[in-house]
Amino acid sequence: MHNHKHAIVFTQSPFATDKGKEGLELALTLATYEQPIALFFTGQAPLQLAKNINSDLLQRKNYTQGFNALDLYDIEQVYINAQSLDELQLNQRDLSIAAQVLSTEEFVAKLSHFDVVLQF
Amino acid sequence: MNEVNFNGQPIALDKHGYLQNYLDWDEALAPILAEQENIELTAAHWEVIYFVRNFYLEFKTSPAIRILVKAIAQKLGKEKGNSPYLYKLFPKGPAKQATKIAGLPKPAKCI
Amino acid sequence: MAKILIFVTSGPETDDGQSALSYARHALKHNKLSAVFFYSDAVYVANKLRKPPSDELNFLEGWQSLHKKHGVELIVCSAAAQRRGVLDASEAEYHGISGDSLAEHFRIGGLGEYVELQMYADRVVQF
Repeated sequence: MHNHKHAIVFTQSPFATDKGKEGLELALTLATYEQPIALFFTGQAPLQLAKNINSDLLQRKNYTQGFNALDLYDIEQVYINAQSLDELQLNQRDLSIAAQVLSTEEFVAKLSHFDVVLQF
Repeated sequence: MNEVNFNGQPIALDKHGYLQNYLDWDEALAPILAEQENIELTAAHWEVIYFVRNFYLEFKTSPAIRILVKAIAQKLGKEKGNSPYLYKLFPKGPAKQATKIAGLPKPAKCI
Repeated sequence: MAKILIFVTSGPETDDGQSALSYARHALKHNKLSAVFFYSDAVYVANKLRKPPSDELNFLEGWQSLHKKHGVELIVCSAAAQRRGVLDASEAEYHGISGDSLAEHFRIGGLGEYVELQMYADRVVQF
């Protein structure tokens, strides 16, 4: 039996596709079963963590609120690509949860510590 | 479609008695939903019902039982945040029955 | 022989979705393929109403033959599938919907089943 360490890598903006919602669903399920897991955000994905998203105006379910429950699920490792954050003109204060911001190089190096990398 | 009559207004339910729209929920509707589950609401039930409803409103997801137990233990203490206590209140499963009475969407059965 | 679990999230109309099937066929030659888990848009492939033109590859039949010939388990995530209209008979009945759409040789499973399968696989490969 293996205790694979999972990295869930988010790459998309929150409502362009359902990827973020389904990636979060998988992450919470893995955490419910106490599997080691970390979340990574790159590309447009840091937008999923932006504060004050009001998707009601889009008539979409605001699944991104689920990221606020990561503590309860004991998901402590959350990493953000600094370059993506810059490109989106966001900084850590704009995010709804505490996350570690890493340079692209550190971000990729960190990913290599995980056994299973799933992209959403 | 199923419905329940509430204050002269029909409220839409799904085939299994869950509200179609969680925003239709009202405190006065809870006892009617509880009756379908053969549960008579006490203060202890209400505490859990409010808890799961607030959990959903905050996170837009219904907690799995393990997380529910843990979150209740953190907020209301260990004597309430444990499975035997919650199953005594909601015999067919707290994650299922409490969310139903709290008017939340039926959880996808993916877990 | 490594035991491999294939986790497909790309839709059947994408290059990755199609590579998944080619990879699965090759993996069977050299490794042990424990199962294929379909999640996200990948669940569309399990809709039995798919009918591609005859001059295009039929990916549904491709996956089905993996199960028929090699007994590879083809598991479709229930929540992802219900959103996308892929239901087996018992789920359709549960929801009071007439008709079902899950293709033969696939079965519906929960995400919890993925969690369990990956524990017993040496590697998980995503497409």
